[in-house]
Amino acid sequence: MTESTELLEKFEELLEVTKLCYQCGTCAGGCPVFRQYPNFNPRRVMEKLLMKDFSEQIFDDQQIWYCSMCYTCSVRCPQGIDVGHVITEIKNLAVQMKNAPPGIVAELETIMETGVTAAISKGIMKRREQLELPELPPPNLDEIQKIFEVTGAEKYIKQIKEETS
Amino acid sequence: MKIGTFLCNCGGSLKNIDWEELQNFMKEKTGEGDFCVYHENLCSPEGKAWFLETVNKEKPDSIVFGGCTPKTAGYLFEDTLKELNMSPFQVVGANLREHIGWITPDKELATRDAKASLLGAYNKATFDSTVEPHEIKMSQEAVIIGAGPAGIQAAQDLAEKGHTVHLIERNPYIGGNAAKLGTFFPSDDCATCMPSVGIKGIHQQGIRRCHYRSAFDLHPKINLYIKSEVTNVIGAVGNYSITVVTKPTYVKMDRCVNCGLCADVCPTDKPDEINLGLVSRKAAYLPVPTSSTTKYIINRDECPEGCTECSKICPVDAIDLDMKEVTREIKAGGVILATGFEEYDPKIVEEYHYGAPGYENVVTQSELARLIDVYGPTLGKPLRKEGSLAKSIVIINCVGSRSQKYNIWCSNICCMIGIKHAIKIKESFPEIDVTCCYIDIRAVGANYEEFYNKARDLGIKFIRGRPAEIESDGEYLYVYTEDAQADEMRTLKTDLVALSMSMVPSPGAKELAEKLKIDIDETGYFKSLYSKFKTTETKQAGVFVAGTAISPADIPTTKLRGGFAASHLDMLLSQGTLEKRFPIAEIDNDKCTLCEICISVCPFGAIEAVEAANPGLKVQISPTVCVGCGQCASSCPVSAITIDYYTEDQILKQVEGLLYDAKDNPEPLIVTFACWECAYSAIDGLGMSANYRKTTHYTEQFKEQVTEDFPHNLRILPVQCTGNVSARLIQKTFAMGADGIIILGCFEDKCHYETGSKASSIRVKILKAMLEYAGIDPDRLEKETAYFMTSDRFARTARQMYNKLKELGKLER
Repeated sequence: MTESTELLEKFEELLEVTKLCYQCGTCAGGCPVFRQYPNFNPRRVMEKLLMKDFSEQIFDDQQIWYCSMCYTCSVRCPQGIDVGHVITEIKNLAVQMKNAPPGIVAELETIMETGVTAAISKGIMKRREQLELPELPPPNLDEIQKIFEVTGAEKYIKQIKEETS
Repeated sequence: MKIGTFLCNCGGSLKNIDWEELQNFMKEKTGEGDFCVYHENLCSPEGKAWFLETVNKEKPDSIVFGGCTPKTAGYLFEDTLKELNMSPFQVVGANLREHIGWITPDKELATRDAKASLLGAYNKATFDSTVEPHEIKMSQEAVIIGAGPAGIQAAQDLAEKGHTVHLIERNPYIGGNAAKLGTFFPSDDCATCMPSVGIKGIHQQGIRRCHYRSAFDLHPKINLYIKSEVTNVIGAVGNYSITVVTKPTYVKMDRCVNCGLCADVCPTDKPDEINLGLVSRKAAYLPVPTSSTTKYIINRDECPEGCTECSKICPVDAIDLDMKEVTREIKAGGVILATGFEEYDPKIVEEYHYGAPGYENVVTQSELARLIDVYGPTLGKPLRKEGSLAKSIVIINCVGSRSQKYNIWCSNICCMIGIKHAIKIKESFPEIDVTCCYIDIRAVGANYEEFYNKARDLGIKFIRGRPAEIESDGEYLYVYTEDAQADEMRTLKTDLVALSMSMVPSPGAKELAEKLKIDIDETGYFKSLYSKFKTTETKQAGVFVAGTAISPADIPTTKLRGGFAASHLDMLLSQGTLEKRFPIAEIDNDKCTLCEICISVCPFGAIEAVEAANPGLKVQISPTVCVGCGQCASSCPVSAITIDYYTEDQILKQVEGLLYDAKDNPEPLIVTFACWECAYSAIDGLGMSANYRKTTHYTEQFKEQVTEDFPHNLRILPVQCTGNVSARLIQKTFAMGADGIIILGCFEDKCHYETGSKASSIRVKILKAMLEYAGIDPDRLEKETAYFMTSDRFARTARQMYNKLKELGKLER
């Protein structure tokens, strides 16, 4: 099976689970991101799937990366559609199609290399001391890198970087 | 037995059949006293006269008719047969027109198939098919369960037709949910408005009355039992015996004048059910204020120990604090179930926080109806819990409806009830801001869209979006919703939220269905016999359903269903006696081993094990409940059950005739067992379609299509239901020379006998495995389903099987 047919099959799977969506907007109404940032609308993501919009557009859409994966939409959907999962899957497909936004790739790289999203600065350590909080344990880099390796994230990051450079 | 065969050439139009050869064939194959005659146009007045004359002269015991489809021939000769005092079962039809003449153009092939069809019919006719008259006297009384709009309509209609009606209501008041709703759309007036009967007559034009002046309960033919429930049902159509238990109200209905003094002195304080607990009432109270058919009642469970204040003050001596529960046995010919609906529990939809502290101003649509009802607890003012007038109200539609998570169905009236309440509020209090949140507005009835327009005209806001949640800050409510038309988030700060709750069947519907041996469907509502036009009928001939007990509906539809059910029950009871309409199942108690398989497969509950009460008698089949589908007969392991007119011997004898040429015919022969209902009509439809194309020339391109698609060598015989075709019958048919067998049934969900087609599908599946095991290609047996409009399905399957059998060759025996 070639990669593109695999992607197509995955996409068909997503269409299958979204079939019953009637665009009631419950996902959007409960979405904490949509409340603050109207450019990200989970109902619109579902609409694109319903229209079988298999142009790159849906994967090029940088807005889906604003989903904070709280899964409120999945809990609320009256049709029982796991909207959060669908959006996560689209993100995965976008990565496989090398469409992840540079900021996301950079963040992933940082995690892969350092084990944390942001480096623990001296300022933070000082503040913790003042608050009498315990010292932060160092991240288990081996474990984190293993996860990147097994899930294929490492491979995709490399591919995307090669593509863009 | 003397059998007369009548051949008819449809006015000489069936030229591809050699009629002379057919006549000679019959003379050669049939018995000594038998005869075979030919007429060119038997259904013409001359033809019928000749037929009558011939039958009167020859006096045959049975008649074989070879010509057009027995489906239509049956009606054409109905009068003639009556004149001859013969039952329709004494005539066996051989379908030489639709199944052969119109489809097979080749004269030799057509004549060969015609011979088979005719000999099959003749063989079947050699069995005695005289029908014993069987009549059961029916009770002319009716029981109606539920006194909401549907039950009231049904009761009035039946009473006006002269039937004594027993109307059984669980609540202490009549009117059902309508009694709580105040007004209704699209007429925009009282929900409980009803036609007037008994005094002026139901059909008096223009007369309609409020509940309180309807004199409904005074109708001499209507017996109303409030606070009553059905506890037991025995019997079947025509003769039910129904046990009704009536709880005491402690007030004598015929004495109470509704003065209210009893309630005035009553020292108690309880939440009022009709006002959904929004206000309190006394233990002595009037359940609804708007109906004189309802009298004051006393809830004794709530009385203080030893208190007799009400009894002492009553000026008309109407109170009897020692009143006892009454159990009645009611005899009735039929039952109408009008048990209605209730609101879905709003607490299940957690994100709206109904009932939680701080969310007291989240109410259901029924509660809002009470709030804006001038007879309600707030005199028609939409007040918040703490007593201030709501300045803004949000209505949320589809709460618990149209959902895979809650209830899958659309509750039909919530959009309009929401709009009705919005209009009512806006008209009385224009300063209140009203917003409706909806997924789709379904304004599908007469004048509904106009009603919706009126709401827009009044300035009611409509937001397309299903709110995700409601939050409370202790004072205000915040409704979070997307405005899907604007692609924007909206947070609606509001004083009061009304939830349009889904409608679910009344509690106890399932138990009633079990008592009356009818089905409920996957939604929990009663299952109609047939959704298109047998809406109010059920699989039990004496049990009808009406109103919102079938599915959510508005009051106009509910009333129509009530009237429709009453009209059908009246048609049934007015016959006076119940005649045996179908061939029915007969059991040979000597053969029966009491395995009880028949009892479990009968979808109508017609079979009962009666050995305990009747020694010597093992199983009894109710002649009024049985419809003769034969699912029991085909399942009986010892062949103890037979279906009149479709006995196994009779069917096999017909198959023998159909396969008369099995040995000499070089081509494969296919026997089709076709259900006499939709499936047989589908084959007729193929012939009709072929002839239409040939003669009408409207589509030159497809002129010969059906004929090309449809193979010859098809030997078709009707059965009452494919559920009657047993495994034994199929095996024996193979043994008798069939190279392939098609079981043509109705669609499983449209089976006329509930489960017959499904049963035959299962049987075919098992038999295919058995054939394979025996080294016979399982493709020689197929199950297909068709109805008149999908006749091509049968043609396709038949052609495929014919081609396959050509490939496989004749079945070696």
